[in-house]
Amino acid sequence: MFSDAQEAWRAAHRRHAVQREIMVDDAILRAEIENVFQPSWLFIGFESEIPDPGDYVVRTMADDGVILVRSERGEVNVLLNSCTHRGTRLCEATFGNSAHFRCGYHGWTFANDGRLVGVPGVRAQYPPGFDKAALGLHRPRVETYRGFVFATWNDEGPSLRDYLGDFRWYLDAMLDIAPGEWEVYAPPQRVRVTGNWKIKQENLAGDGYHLQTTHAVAFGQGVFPREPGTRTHGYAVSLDGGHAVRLGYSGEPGGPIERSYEGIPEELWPGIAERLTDEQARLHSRCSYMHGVVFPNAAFLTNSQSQTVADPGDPVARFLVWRLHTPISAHETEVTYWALVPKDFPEGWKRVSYKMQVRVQSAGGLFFEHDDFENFARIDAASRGHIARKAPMDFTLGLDHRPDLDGFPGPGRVQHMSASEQNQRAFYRHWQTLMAGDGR
Amino acid sequence: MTPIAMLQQEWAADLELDRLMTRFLVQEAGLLDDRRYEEWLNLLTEDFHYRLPVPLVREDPWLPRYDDRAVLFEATKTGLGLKAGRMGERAAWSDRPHNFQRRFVSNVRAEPGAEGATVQVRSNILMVVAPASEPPTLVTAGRTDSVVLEGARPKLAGRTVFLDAEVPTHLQISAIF
Repeated sequence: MFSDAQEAWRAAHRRHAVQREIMVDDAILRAEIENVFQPSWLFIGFESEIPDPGDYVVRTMADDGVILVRSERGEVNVLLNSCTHRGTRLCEATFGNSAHFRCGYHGWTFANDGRLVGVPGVRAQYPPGFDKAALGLHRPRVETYRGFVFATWNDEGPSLRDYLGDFRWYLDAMLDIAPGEWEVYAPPQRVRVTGNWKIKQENLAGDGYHLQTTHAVAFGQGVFPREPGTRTHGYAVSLDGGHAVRLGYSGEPGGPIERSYEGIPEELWPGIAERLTDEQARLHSRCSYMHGVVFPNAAFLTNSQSQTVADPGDPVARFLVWRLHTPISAHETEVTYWALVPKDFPEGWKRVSYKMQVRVQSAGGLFFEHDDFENFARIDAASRGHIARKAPMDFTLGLDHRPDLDGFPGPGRVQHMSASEQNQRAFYRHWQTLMAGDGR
Repeated sequence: MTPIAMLQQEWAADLELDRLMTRFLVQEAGLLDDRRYEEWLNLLTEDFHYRLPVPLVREDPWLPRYDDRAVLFEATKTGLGLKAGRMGERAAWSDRPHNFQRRFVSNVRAEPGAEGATVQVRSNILMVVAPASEPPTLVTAGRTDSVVLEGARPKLAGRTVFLDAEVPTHLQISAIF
């Protein structure tokens, strides 16, 4: 016989369980591309990567190659990287500058706004009604928010602003800590890793639970403080639409706002205090780190904690890394990392911020990614068997912890808990809704 | 003097420096293969700097193939000491069990630097990397090393690694080249 509490837990376990096969099944990935990726706004890149007319970078929307390009008129375009004649990939380089994209097979040529402008033999060999205007490159809807470029193949869906919803409040708070615009410091780092794209997303959505085990070495080597009273305490915030944020604080909640912004040059603090709303200032006050996800496959992390790997004499500089987890197969993911810096900050500060991102939160970083990726590869390896793939993953951590209804300044469903799976549950709930076909 | 003898005479000094640097790099690679990290760290100067620039794929083949700012990894001697120190930590999940690694160094070209105390060495490296239970993968790279001579003792003052893959696996870049 089970106690009432055990019965209740078993019911909750069943209600929130997700079968492990979603991490290893290529048929499920094909369904995800159709049901999750296609109707969603997908992160493509940053306007600052293509500052001048003709600048382009080649990216991926789920399994389709696209070109993010600034047209001669200065507009931001996303073009399917596939000739409308035979489907040849048009652009083989990863980035560059070009007014046109010419197919290497038969020479069809497209302007950088996607129009078909050149067809060899068009007058002599094609029928009179041949319509170049009907054969431009396929173009998704494109919208930008504060320099972040997103695209979607969903013609009927919400605007990008509505899609991001309350996540915009957190993004604004993060970006408004600096005056002016943010920019990518350098071309992104890209790496292929074993493991499904979702495990990386759910990890960054809110997994504070893994830190003590996966990243025990970081505690052992002094990256995180170990002494009692110096550890951070966390908040999990799940937002409508599958987006999520998790934050860590070094002070007790509800205390006075400290107008101090660790990792930002001190002479800029007065300006920050003027720029932020009271709620944003409370969000930042004694905040040590913030990470989260934009559904389905973008993620971010910012912190200034990891001074162990700074060089002597370096200023304390926080970093902000924006990431994309693009599925290559159910078993493999390409991870792209962009380091963002405020455009007007001193060059020396930007250089240190970038260095901290590379050393702390990149695929080659010293502490975190290797051990995360190792565990993701172990999940992949152990979930392929015909028994294992049908077994559930448990998501009941923090389930009976009531939401924090006041005291936290930002929107969303807030739990004052360092280790909770609230955000992961919300991520998979939204994923399940879309997989059921409700996103179309 | 025959043409061959003339060539031998002309190239003798270069050849000797190439051989000396080959011996140094092969010994250094052996320390990494054998996980003798303390001894390997002793081959580095205190201001040693290690960089893996981000590879670039551009339309024009004559433009630079590696970014001068973006890196996949970079570290000082202190950082590499922390990386090597992971082996002693029971919770270093990606290092326990160990990966198989073996390095093959070739095409060593040494150029003497200022005052006969520094050498610029370019070389190629082929590395086999395999997690304990997975098939091995190969990764290749070019390297440019800055070697300083402390007395007769060569030390590495800097290493830049030029990977032959635009998007490597994280396992590949986790190894020290």
